[in-house]
Amino acid sequence: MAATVEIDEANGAGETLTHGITNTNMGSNDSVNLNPVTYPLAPGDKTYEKWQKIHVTAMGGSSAIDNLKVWRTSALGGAAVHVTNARTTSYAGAATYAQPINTTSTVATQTMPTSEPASANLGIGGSLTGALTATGSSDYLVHQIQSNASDTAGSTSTMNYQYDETA
Amino acid sequence: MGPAETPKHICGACTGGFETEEQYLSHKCTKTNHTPSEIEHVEALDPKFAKVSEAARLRGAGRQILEKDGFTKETAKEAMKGVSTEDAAVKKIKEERKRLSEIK
Repeated sequence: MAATVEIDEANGAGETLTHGITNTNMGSNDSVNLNPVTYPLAPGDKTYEKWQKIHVTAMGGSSAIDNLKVWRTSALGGAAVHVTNARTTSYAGAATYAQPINTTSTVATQTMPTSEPASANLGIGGSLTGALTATGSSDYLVHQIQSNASDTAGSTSTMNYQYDETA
Repeated sequence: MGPAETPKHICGACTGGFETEEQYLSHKCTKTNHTPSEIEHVEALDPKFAKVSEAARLRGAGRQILEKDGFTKETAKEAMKGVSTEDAAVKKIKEERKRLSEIK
């Protein structure tokens, strides 16, 4: 048996949580699994923030889920920057949900890693050394893409969400 | 209790809405025919989940072995970085044991 894990995303003023998202497409609308062709960015604009969680829906006989790491692979288009609250040092604790914005994020302020971090960069219970020993969720992962006025095209890349599972 | 009028929890697969997480977790998804707590539900949504899950368990098992060998929890975590296959886990454990014996 193994733990059952999904990625959830919160949207709107009321924190509506969509469980088991299938992509993290980012664009000019606060919605889950959005179509970036329908909601493109104008050069220089910022995407709406994504507020997402790693959610353990069943432990499956395992004793702990921890060491959460998130990173992006593949380059962004032009001079765009991908920012996040995820970080391996000076972690600010669990971010309190606020309706996603498409102005400069005050929560996501550090560049998203482009390779696997050396240690956990997303917390559980506000701590990078936290662990889930029963069903529950990680802290919110907040991230946003900030395009540059000179950017002319979007890009496709992969978000990686990783955890360790102890029997 | 059925889906709520103003859902706070939505099943990404069947789009059913629920007032509470408990209601979401116990519903039988009409898209996957399983509850979200069942592994078949996640595997139906993400064909790569089995591989992701196996890698997570390999890292966890590797960490337990290294911790029994005397590695700290944090060192064991770092040692298993990048491990996603059984061969890689075994290789890492051997490397770390060798490194530890050299230090001793």
